[in-house]
Amino acid sequence: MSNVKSAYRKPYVPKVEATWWTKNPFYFRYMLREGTSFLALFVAVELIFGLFMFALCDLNSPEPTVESAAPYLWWVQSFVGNPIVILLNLVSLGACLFHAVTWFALMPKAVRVFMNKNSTELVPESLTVIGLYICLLGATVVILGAAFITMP
Amino acid sequence: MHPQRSDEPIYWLLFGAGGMVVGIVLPSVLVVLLVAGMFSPDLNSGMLSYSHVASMLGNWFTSLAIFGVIALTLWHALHRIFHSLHDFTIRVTKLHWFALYGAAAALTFIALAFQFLIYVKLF
Repeated sequence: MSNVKSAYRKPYVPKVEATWWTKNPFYFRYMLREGTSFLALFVAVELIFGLFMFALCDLNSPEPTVESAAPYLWWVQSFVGNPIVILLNLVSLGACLFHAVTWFALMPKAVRVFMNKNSTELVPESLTVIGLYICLLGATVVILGAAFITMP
Repeated sequence: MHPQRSDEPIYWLLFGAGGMVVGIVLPSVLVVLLVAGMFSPDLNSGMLSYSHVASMLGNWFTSLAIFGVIALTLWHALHRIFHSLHDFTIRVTKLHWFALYGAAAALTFIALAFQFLIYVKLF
């Protein structure tokens, strides 16, 4: 972003249509990938909304009742259980996986790991990518395992 | 005169860490949310039932992990939305920067405040 203001310079700003990315499948895929960030934002806001509704509950009541936990129960039953939100979560899941595939694919280009300190040879790209897929698998097993084991 | 240092590395670091979180952690978080949405949990039984979440947010480790996931996802998403404003043919100004990074900072502190409040109130 340049903030240079000069009387001698009148930069040419080409006109770009807002639909430029629909005309080429490569550009379309690029915008689809950028669009996944909106769904990630949606998930974060949804979770913060859940935290807010949980904080509204009467947390000091000795035994939780339907009345004391009413705000949270509304969030988990009526909001997260709403068909539109379920659909949005499903689309977000697809978006996260699309993001994961493209993110892992670009990682060897962004992070350059040398084989050892005496050479300029890089570790094979497949090693980084496969490592990240193993991380995804491991995190999924750990989180889902913990969630289902601790489920009352 | 020292040249002015860029603050971009900080946001880029948060964006990079957030990219990892969105790719690696968020899919299973969404599976949990989908299961909760479909099986309608109540007070003491089911995925994300009241007592299940109370035990998650009452544990400092789980609560911090949830905070990390939310905060990094926010910084990642809003950083990317800021940088794709140009692709939506919007002339980017410093005001856009303050609005989007400000939103990320505000939501991060809101999440932290709620989690701290719940943690302190429960135990």
